[in-house]
Amino acid sequence: MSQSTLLALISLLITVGSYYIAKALYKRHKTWWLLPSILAPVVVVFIVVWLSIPLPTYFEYTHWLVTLLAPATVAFAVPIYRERQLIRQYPLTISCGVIAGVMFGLTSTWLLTKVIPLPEELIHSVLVRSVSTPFALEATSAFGGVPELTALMVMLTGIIGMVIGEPLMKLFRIHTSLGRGVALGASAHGSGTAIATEIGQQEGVVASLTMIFAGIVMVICAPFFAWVFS
Amino acid sequence: MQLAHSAARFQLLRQQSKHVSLALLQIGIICLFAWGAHAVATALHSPIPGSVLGLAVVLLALALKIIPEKAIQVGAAWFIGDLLLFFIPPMISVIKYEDLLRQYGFNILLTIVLGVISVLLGTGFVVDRVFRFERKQHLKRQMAKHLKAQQLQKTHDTKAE
Repeated sequence: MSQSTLLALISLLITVGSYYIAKALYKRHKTWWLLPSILAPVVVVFIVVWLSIPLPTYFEYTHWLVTLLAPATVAFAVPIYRERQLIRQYPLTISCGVIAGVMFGLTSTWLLTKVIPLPEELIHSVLVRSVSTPFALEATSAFGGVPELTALMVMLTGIIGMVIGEPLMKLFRIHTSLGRGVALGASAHGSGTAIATEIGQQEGVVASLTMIFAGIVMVICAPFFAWVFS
Repeated sequence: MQLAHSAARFQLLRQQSKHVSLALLQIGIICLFAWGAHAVATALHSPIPGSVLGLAVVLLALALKIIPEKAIQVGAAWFIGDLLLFFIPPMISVIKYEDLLRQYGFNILLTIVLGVISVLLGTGFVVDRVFRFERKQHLKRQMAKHLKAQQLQKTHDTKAE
């Protein structure tokens, strides 16, 4: 086996390994720095730099993990189907929430990039940051974004939403179960959904529905949004 | 004693391997749907990407009971539960953008923090109000249904007398 193949195999191993180890650790101790979304990438970056693995070698096998994002998107059909009762009960609330979430996400980020100086490639990559990664990676090309930077922006959004979501909603008196669930799903996608699930069952369900629908809207309307927010 | 213990362990192992093989099978089914939808979307030059098209197809198939929920439930749970694993690799390429991130790190964080606050509060504010309105409507409808049922019952009772 050539050295490059060996390093590529090690890359895949440490990526999968550090993710599952971080997940297990976070299950036991709920501290922020053990979050799999923080610990796993940090550990992998550290090892890749330490072993000086070239990036193309790192991606030789790990890019197969990224191809699984498409079937993961398809898998979202199951929670939509399972929670059809809730959708039928509150169609107006959920659709208003999804539209508000996508529009607030795009306009706030767009306005902020007008005020805060950022380089071109980052501006294009940060616009879709409020939707879940599989959708964001699909939509970002329409905005001229870089997939890798987009993935990072989405992840940072999730972590920040996870930290400030609950206290902020208490402070500003967002009380209803659907209000909280939709707000968390729209602002912090998967991480927000995790927090919402800790608050309550209905909050969690509605957060995940909002996250999925917001992602779908973002992907389908991406060419139009890219034309408006350019 | 020892024998019973090892038998129980064997049983557990068998159950676990059964669960894993079921999950793998379902993961395969979902992948087939995704890649099939991707192929169709590319062939038709569809503006909607294959993954979202696949989602729509599977949802329709579930709604029409063409595929039972049980056939993909375990696989879907794995995909959604371990979603994070699939986008660790793109995040590793931040190594390539080290200088950019070092230089603009603070501005990026500021943009995202303020962005998250606006989405959270804006959406929460809108949904809180819409939900209160819709819940009231929902309750009214249910009350009306209830009253109607009661009335029907009453007329039925008087007729019976």
